[in-house]
Amino acid sequence: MTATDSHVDTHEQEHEYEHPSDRKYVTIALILGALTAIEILLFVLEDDLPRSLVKVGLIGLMIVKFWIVGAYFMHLKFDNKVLTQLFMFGLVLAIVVYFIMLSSFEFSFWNDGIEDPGLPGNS
Amino acid sequence: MANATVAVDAHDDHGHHETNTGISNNKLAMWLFLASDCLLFGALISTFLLYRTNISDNTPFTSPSDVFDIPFTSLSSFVLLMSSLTMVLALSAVNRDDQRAGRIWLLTTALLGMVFIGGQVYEFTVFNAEGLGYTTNTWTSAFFTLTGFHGVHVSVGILLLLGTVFGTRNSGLGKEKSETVELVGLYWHFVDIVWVIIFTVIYLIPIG
Repeated sequence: MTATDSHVDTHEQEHEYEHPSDRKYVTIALILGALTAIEILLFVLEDDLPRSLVKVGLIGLMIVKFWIVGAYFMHLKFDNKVLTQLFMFGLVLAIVVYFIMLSSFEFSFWNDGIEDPGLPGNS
Repeated sequence: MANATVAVDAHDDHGHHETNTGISNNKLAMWLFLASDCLLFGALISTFLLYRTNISDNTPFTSPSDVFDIPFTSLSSFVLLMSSLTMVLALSAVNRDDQRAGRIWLLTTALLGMVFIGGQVYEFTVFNAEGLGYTTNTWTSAFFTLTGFHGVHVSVGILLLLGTVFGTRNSGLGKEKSETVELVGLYWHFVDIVWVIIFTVIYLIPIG
């Protein structure tokens, strides 16, 4: 097998992955709708549930929805892994950079926002 | 003759150049753009988080939940989520060479996007009527900047969708256009997942 053959094979593999069927796409959308309904239910019940449980639940559901859209609708689950790595690089970079930025302002997601009195605009 | 064969082999059946990664350059560029856009929205979301308790400055409101209309925003979120479904159905139709269905699903996606933008304009109008302008306090500045930037992304997506539908009236929206539709779809789904984060972090997660 020549280098060119190998090259073309890789490319054909790239194009020949199985897309989910339309029925599966509808099922995935219904799951996303159900997850959104659970999010709203958590929001409605926030006074009756421990605040940290509501926050963890909402963030967990958000991550699951994010993953489902990325994996199935954006085809990352079926596509070349280089694309997943590329996107994850940007995503992780953003999370790390802004986590550091928020930490420098002593921001606490679990308490009441920022605690740094020196931030412009905060009295 | 041999050179001509190599030249033909170096293109795939969609007429795109072969690449070392096996991924088309356009698709790679779109993913690179989306990865970089994570940093833009990361900055805007982080800024909002820093100022999220400041809604009471210059306003009678004590909490964001005083101004948010969660049932209405939930409906908007659902509309945007369903537009991702119509987008994948459009790509699926184009991959089957079903041009009519492809156009219908693309137009439906654009229509759902317009409904979402209409809802955002309504929300902004209500906020403005309640005295929450762009410069009222740092909370409103951060909120309008974040949701406004997202709205601009959705609007660009609508233009891309309409451009794809009407720009292919003469050339057709057959299987050879599948990569174009896929790229528009990637952008559209990205806008959707950004809203998934905004909806949870800004609207639903309680303060305190």
